[in-house]
Amino acid sequence: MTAVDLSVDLGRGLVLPNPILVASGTFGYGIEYGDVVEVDRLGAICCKGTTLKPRIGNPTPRVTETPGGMLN
Amino acid sequence: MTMRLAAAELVESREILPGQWLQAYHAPTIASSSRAGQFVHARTGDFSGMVLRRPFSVNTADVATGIITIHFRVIGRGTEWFTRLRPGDQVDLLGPLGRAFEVDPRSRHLLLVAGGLGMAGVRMLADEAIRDGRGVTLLFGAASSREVYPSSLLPDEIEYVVATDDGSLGHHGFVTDLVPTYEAWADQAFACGPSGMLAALARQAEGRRGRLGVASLGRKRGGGRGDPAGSAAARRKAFLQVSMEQNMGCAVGACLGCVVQTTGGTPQRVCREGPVFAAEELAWEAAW
Repeated sequence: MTAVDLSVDLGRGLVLPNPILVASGTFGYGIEYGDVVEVDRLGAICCKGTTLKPRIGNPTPRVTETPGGMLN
Repeated sequence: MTMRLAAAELVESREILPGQWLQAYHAPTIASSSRAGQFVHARTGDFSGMVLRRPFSVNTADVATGIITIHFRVIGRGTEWFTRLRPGDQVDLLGPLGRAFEVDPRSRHLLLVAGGLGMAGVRMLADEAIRDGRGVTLLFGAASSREVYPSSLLPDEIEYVVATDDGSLGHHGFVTDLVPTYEAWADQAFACGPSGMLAALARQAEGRRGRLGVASLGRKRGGGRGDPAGSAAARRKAFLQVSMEQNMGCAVGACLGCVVQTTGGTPQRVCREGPVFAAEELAWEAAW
């Protein structure tokens, strides 16, 4: 079986090896799931919202479960 | 970190106290790699509104049988779901997660302090300490005798001292009242329980440093060179280590939901840098 080319050209030189992306926030900064997922097989990781300078962020509780997932 | 995904079979499930359950799962890879203080993240089989896993401290781990136990209180739909499992049912466990208690190899006497469900956080350390030939005193606090962890579920070798808020069993008052009697005997202390209890213990540990001068007398620790805060070496030298509880999402460090504030000003993740911290790492006066 020949390999299927799943690469995606998003323009401006950004070519992804495949169109499988993890949504922002669900995958941290990529390294956190390295022990349980082969991160290299993903097309891209959308990192969490981030800031130029460190911020402490909001006090807890920061997460809660919802019927459809997690509110973070 | 050697965390693994494992299909774990429920071996035994019983309600040991009103609303509190002890469950045993056959999970050999987790049993053989868990250390006291670590936890597992368990997925419910009901995805209609419960997509998040639930974190449980590893209560005991037996390498020979491959069985781990968890101890929890029913506090919502997720924990209630686990009580309906029957022996033979399988759950998906991720673990062991988090960083373990760090016992100084020189410590001969360990003081464990648990409040309520906090027993689940320190229970395994009693086993490890006895295995390593250490003396253990376990101070346990609960609201009343109805919520006192059964001594039959603890190793015979430990001294078990109980305090109840209403005086129905043991000392009448808080478990922290018992600490002054034992702190001079103890080389290190390890605690898990309500945040108010842990904060009180942290104040007692701070006072101990002032009174006993542990750092400048007897113990020559590190030759004056400080270990980085939060490192295993620094925690190993701390008199008091605490296991923290926090609302948790992913349990692998990605969602940043389970943070606690530190004296250094940088929030730390309970799931990744914790759940065990040296008491002096944490900003107890912080609002969160």
